[in-house]
Amino acid sequence: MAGVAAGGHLKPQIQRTIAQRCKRHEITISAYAAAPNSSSFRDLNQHLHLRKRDQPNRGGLFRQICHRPNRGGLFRQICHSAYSFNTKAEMASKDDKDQRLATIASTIRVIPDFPKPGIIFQDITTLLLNPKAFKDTIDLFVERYRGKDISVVAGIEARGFIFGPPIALAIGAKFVPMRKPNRLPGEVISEEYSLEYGKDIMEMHVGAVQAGEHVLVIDDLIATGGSLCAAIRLLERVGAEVVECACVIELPELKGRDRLGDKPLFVLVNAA
Amino acid sequence: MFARENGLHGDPRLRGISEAIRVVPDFPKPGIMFQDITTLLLDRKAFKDSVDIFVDRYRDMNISVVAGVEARGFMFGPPIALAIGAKFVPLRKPKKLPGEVISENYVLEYGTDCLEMHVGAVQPGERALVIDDLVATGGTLSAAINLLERVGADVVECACVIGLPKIKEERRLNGKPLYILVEPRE
Repeated sequence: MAGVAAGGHLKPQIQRTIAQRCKRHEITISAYAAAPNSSSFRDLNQHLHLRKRDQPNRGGLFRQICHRPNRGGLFRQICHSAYSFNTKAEMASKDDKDQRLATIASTIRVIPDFPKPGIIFQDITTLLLNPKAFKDTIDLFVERYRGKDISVVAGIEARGFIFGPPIALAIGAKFVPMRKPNRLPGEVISEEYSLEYGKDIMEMHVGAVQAGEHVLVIDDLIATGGSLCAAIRLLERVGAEVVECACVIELPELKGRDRLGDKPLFVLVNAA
Repeated sequence: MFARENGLHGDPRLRGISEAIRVVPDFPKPGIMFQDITTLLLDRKAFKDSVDIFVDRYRDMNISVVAGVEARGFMFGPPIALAIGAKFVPLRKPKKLPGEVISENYVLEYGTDCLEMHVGAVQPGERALVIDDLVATGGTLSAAINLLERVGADVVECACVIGLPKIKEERRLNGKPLYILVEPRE
């Protein structure tokens, strides 16, 4: 896999073909796959497994995701698009939002087989390397939550610590870190939660959040929803009201959204 | 190296920041007075002031990288990076970063630890700021400086909210200037 430029050595015909296919489905490619040993479209086609998922969103937005598995040294290809069925009047601001979402999606790097074989890791560190994309990410959350009487932003260790504080500062809320055990120095309350194999514990400082406060919970990604549920339980145990959970990325196949029950979830990008 | 010596003497914001920090005795072990910045994060004005002071200082220094040390460096680094238009690069404990990394070992009081950075995150010649909540012996910050210098970056300064007395005598770390907002409270 080392040293393969994205799409650079593919025959032009193959590159164009890929783009055309996606345009037919109104999907723009944000990252190209490279197939070092494929010189024909047919070869590429065998490795190409386009799977579209329509997931309706509040406000009439549909997202389509093209997903290609990683076999035989191929890079992963992610296509994102958001197109709206709203009226023309709303299209202008939607276009701007769509452009920002497209930029954000294109900066997320996918790393196969991390932390273990079979897992496709969504790496947001590459988003953080793009100042405009990072700013757009924060702006999209701030636009949604500003003026909504949210007094607490709770961020889940550790990548929630990267997105939470800028949002908290912009909307005038406190930032509360939700941490792994034995990291917080003062008196804490703890919540145990299940992992795929085994359990983990999440902690919050006693006194950080008061009863009746409106809270936004933030993390970089929702998978099964286990961490977010633990955070919600901790906050509700002290009498706070969790208004919404917000993530940059959702893995919809893992149904974390369902696990949150009646708590709404807002995400920027879907990944399969 | 302390903010009050660098043109912020008498700035009321510094007092607010210092008073917002909570001291927790005997954590993580007996004899240590832990400087807890989580209470600073609960004080909206003090948190904003601490970020503003750093932003005002670094805005015009042509810094393109803010490197934050896991995990409390993640709380201060990103707001600064966003405000000055720089990239944010997380420096993490081993095996947390998913891509190809470079590692730097450093010495603790007992034993050693390791800090990692993604290959390709920082380019040669980039001007970098390292940020963490607190500097004690400087071991962690030294490891951070080494990582950045190994990829050819120019570390302009290391910035921390709190600086322990041990570092006061040094004034610099690996030859790099230190900028610290407040001293620890008793």
